[in-house]
Amino acid sequence: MTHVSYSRRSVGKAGLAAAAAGLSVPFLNIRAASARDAKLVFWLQPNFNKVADDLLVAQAKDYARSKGLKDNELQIEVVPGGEVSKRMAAALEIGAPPDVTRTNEEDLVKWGSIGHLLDITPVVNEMKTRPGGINEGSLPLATRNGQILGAPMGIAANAAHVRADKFKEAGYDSMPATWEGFIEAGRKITKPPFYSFGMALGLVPSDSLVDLMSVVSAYGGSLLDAQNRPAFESDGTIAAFKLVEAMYNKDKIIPRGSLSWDNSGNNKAFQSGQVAYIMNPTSVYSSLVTDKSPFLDATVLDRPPGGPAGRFSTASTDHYSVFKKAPNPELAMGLVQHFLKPENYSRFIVEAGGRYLPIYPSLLSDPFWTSKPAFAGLLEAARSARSTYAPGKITPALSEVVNRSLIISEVQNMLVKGKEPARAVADAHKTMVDVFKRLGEPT
Amino acid sequence: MSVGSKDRSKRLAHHIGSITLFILIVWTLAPLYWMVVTSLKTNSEIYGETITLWPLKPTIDNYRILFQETNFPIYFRNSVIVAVATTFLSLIFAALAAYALTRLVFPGRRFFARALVYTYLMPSSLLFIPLLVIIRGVGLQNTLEGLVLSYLGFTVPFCSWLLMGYFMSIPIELEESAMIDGCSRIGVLIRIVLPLTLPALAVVAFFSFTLSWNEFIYASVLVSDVSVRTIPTGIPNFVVQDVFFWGPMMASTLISAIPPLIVYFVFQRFLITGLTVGAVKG
Amino acid sequence: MTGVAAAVSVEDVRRTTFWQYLTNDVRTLAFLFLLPTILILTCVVVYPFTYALLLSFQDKTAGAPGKFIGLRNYIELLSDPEYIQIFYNTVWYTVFGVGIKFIIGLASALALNQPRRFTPIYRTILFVPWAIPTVIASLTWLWVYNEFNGLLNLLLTRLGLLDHGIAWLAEPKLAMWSVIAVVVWNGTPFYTMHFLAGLQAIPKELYEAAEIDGAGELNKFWHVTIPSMKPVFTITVMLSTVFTSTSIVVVNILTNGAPANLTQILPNESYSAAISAGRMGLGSAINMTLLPFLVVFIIILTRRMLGNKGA
Repeated sequence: MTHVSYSRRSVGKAGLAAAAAGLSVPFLNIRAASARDAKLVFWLQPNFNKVADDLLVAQAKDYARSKGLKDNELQIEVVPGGEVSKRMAAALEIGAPPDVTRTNEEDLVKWGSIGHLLDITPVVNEMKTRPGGINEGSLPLATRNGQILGAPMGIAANAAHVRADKFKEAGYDSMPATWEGFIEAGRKITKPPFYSFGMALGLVPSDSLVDLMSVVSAYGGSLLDAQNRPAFESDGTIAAFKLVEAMYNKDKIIPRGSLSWDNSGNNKAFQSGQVAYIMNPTSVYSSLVTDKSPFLDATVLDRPPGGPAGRFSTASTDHYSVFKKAPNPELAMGLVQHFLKPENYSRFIVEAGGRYLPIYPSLLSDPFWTSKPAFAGLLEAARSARSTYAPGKITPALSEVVNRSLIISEVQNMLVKGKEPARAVADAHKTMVDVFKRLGEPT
Repeated sequence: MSVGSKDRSKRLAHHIGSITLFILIVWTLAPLYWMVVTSLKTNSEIYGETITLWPLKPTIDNYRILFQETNFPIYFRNSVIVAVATTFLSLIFAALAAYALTRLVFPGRRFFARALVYTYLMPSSLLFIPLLVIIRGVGLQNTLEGLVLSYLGFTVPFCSWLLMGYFMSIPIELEESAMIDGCSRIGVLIRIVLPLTLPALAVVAFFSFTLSWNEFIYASVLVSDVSVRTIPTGIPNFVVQDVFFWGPMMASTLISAIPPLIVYFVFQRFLITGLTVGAVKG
Repeated sequence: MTGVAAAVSVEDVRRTTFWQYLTNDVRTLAFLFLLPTILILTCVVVYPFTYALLLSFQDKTAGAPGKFIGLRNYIELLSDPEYIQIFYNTVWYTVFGVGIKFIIGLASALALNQPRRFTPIYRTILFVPWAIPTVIASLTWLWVYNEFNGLLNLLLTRLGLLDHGIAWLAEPKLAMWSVIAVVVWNGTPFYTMHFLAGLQAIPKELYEAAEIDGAGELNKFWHVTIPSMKPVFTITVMLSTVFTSTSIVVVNILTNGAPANLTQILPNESYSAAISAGRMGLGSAINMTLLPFLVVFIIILTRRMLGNKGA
């Protein structure tokens, strides 16, 4: 009995303490202003380094103040890349998307085709009037039914990050210019746990597709034809698949674990000095700089190796978009305009550390672009860059194919389940066609 | 069986137990060791070419960053409030529900009991959108109460089932005699039934607290404002695009493991009630 | 005098009757007791559940109205060989996840139940993996499994057992087991804790009676412990099966289904379809296909529990 009464008292005491806390929750009033108390809502997707992000926040706040907004009428939410799809799906369902956010090409097409994005042609027109104009390459993509749904804010060029020292050790002046040469060098360089080719092969979009297409396009293959129809199955693509299969299973110059990498897998591999080559936006190079990495001086930026069809890198354009549901569309468009004013924009570009190439070509004369020897390679890569989807453009159906990693699944089937390269390509093509058919796009 | 061999058999069981315990503790501690060590390393040792098993240049910089440069203290406070409230309310609601389902006879009793478990069949990874619609509809988006309400949907069914199991093992004579003495049903519940099911209450407390402490998906969708955020949703902010900040992340993991451990340490004494149950039967 | 007493007692009777009516009519009482639970579950579970069910019969993207398409989502799934593979993976993952957690959990609980110095400390240590959010545990294990500088490869190469690191999450034969290991690490304390509470509740007299009959440790275990623990086993296995087979976190972080969908399980495929590809109807349908099996499982397990016991 003593046991029971002792326990009861402790339970009672614990219960009372918890009760006090539990019942006081509503009174503590820890709540946020509802999203629509704010007049302007901006989702900031982090840019690889805090300085660039902080700069955007400061610029947004300056803008809000200049428009007479009080502190709590501007709401800035930091939404990491991995959270965007989930948060946006929920936000769209409840009818409360942000007013302004950055969109990549896939987002533009996905949200634009359903009609969520606002026409911001006035902003783009103003950008065009700046001295030197803008790089208009992405405008056709951002335009739908005559409306421009995104203001281009930077060109994200993928560059090959190369450990020149490793190639020199193996007797090469520089990285070979063709895939065949690259593989031969790779065999000499690879000494597990060090691998020559940090090829992203994971099922998380999108580094893997970039890597794959850099091989496929070198041999003349492509995802789409010029009429945006699926065109994956071709001799070039099959040749490229055979090469990838050999690289992974026969020559073994690719780390086995790359199949389960997410988008930071190749970054981590390069940063920790385990691979001699990755294809990535320059976030990795920026990190090497910030971390004062011992490999910094040995790293050069370059185009990927080429093949019979040529040697080029890939690039895509990111945009700022405004959602139609924004209660104050003029205010929202003004924020985009503010970010893209050359005086604000040029500072962002420099702080972003090479992550984006300026949308205003005149800004390339900024001394920043010659401040690091590696940037020469980056600029060359950018000059040769095409879209991953060339000669076509991203469409809603292709966006689904990309987001569900349907092509990479077939690559993995080939590598792991022993599917014949030609079969894998054929199946990938068929999957693409099925999706296009389902969404009513021409095949 | 002679007394000697019974002792031997007991000792053997004890030895096996000790070995098992040792293996399990090593297996549990290894990743924890990695977390502790990583949280004390500098960036170059975490990502560098030669990885060390022990920090060569230990630093508490990661912890400093955590407390000074991030909003971690705010997240911590919010998590504590949500977890405590959820635990307390789970206990009350589950006890009431379990009592009703085991002691009171009414139509639909069995269906309702099963329905409790069916509530877990839909994962949060799918339900978060309609849940957001409801929470927003009652004006609880971006509030701690909204989170508590959502988490109760997770904890109450399980805790009810748990308590049902324990209530069923308590003989009904005890309650009947109390009620004859003039005790009301609620009185019986509080004074007689609950004290005898302390192990179950302990488990209810651990489960509710830990679940609301660690829940991620609902928290990330229902709450976006930094001042209302809880710890698990603060963590992904340590990932800047495709670059990780492992040092501070591991530091935050270790710090945030402490409150559930405290709850556990405090409540685990309630697990020892074998004597009490015996007393009742006698 | 008598009049006053009579007046008081009449009022007492009226008051008592009303209160008694409220609290002693079993059905009203049951309703009152269950009310908070019913309210919460309706808001937070029933409505979302119904929404998800209806969604599975539609073609819908976020923010756009849904289009009713009947069973077409289900037909698409059942004719996709990848889906069959993923279903099979889910069964494998759940069976082994739950099974291994059960065995280790029971072993831990038995070991912790033995009288020993410092038991509270051991119990607290073994509880820690569950105190760590699954997201973080998965991220940590991702690092532990890292091919180049993860803890596991580090140890094995330093001990000379390996030449160079293995890609634990990408080798076809190892990947699923690596994932299951994390599920087990993170989830076993749930079993340990519950089993320990159950063991503690077994009356000592049962053991004493068995010893008098001459039973040794093994016999006591088999004939006293196991039968007494059956209800605890049932609840734990039932709930854990449901939790394990519907959680996306571990696979999402460790492999995302690689290699070649060998580690992909249904809840992850559902999430990928609904959120990444924006096909909410299909995503919901994928989830729904697992439900009948779980429901049957629950009914079978709880039949005995709900049948015999109860007032």
